Amino acid sequence: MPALGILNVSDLSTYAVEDFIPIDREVFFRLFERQNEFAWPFHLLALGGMVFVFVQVYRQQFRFIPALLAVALVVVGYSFHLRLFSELSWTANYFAAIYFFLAGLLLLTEALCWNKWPGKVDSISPLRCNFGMGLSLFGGVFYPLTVAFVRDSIAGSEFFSITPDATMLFVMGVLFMLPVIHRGLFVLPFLWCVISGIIWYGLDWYPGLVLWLLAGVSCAFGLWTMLRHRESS
Amino acid sequence: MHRRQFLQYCTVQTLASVAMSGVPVAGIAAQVNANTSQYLQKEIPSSGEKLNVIGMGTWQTFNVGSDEKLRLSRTKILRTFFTSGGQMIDSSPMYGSSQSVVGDGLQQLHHPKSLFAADKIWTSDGDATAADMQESLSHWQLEKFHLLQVHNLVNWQAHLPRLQALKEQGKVKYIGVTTSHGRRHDELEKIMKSHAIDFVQLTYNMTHREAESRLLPLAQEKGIAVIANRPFDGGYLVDRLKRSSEAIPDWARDLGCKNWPQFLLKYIVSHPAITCAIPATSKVVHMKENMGALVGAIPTEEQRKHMLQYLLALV
Repeated sequence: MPALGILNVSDLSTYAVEDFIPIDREVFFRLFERQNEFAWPFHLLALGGMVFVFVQVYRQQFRFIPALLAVALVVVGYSFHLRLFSELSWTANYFAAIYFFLAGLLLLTEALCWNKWPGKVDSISPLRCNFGMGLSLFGGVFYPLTVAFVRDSIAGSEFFSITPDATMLFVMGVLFMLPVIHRGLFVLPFLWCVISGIIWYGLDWYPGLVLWLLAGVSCAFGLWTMLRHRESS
Repeated sequence: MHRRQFLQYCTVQTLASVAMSGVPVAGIAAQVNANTSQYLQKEIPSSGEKLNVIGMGTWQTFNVGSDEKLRLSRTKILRTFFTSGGQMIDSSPMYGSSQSVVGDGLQQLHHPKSLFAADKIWTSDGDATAADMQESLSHWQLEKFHLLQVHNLVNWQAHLPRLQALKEQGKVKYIGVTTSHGRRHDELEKIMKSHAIDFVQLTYNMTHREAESRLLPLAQEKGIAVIANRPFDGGYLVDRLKRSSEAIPDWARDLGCKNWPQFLLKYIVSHPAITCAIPATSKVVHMKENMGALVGAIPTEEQRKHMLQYLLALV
């Protein structure tokens, strides 16, 4: 029987979702405070990274963007999921794997697309680019501000390249802005948004359900642009 | 009240006051071994040993990892628990860092003598029963558990015979099985009928009383102690009652209930089959409220009906 953590898959049917969230909200938010304390002043570097991405996209110079996103994902996978969250839940090891795997795929994309960029930028529509810009701005700027406002604590908020949700939302937004990338790259960010929404739901923190909303909207938008592209070609 | 009883009462009240006053943990560590005999107790049927009817769970609330600030706050909760007459602490390998946080707290409190340590085996590997126990013991910083249970019936067919062997070797005093949220009651019933276990743990609270129909009568018949988990339905009941701003009725105060958590707990532990309820909390003030249910009267069958009727009209 295949094993997940220390449980057989057959045992999983006897558990509820909340059984896999062995923490309370206070402790989960403390993780963000501790992560921010640990990472400061790396936040400034991360901010510089976001500005770099936007400038490069504006200049239609896409090289180094996937690599930069990969670094951000590895930093979060290790410093948040493995270093902090895995102390509280064995599921965090699997969450870290999502971040590391996506980072690997982005590095592969960087290598495969190196010679295709900066060409073929026409393949990305302004609408898709604007959607990606909006999503990445939400993940990088508005989501951290919203969390800080709702929780009345900037120290316990989420930030790009520091904490999971802001990082993944930013990455997903940037992916929409990159031409000639494989659609499969969107699977892991989508999966994370679903998982993170489940965690927030389990913790009764409903502002976190915006991740489900964004995952749904992104999925619908991606499918719509794909169908439209097929029809036009 | 005899002079001796009066002195015992004063000692415990003083300790409880000190516990609330914010005295550093180490300062009170040597005093947490409160006399427990004056609290509401039930017998463990298989041994006749008496156990105070309110214990504590650690699900979610004690899983704080290496966060020093939160670890200190959990040690204060443990201190309140013991100075208020607490004995049973229940944890599991499934609860993340909860075991080691409890172990750390117990170490700081110099291992209170009244502790009744209950833990679980949580692994699908049927050969890992003893290894799982040893790992849990190292987290708790103990040499022996009072009670070991098979968590959520995970591979109980393999674990129960091994737990029985560990009991015969004197490595654990009591053995049992657990379930929660009303799941797998049919399987639990079969185990209770066919295996010599000392304890079962199941969900029982004022709005989830499924166990009353078969499992609790069976536990009485078989002489199995029952631990009630999720006494507040995961906090929902207390939140709902506190939000309703409905005051506790005067007649409940005669039973020794000063607040809603005590009302809910008294109902649970007054069932003749229930040995102990294990509410979990991360706040000292809530622990104090919970432990208040350890004193006063046990409701009669008639009073239980009245309590239930009253509560169901509110939630």
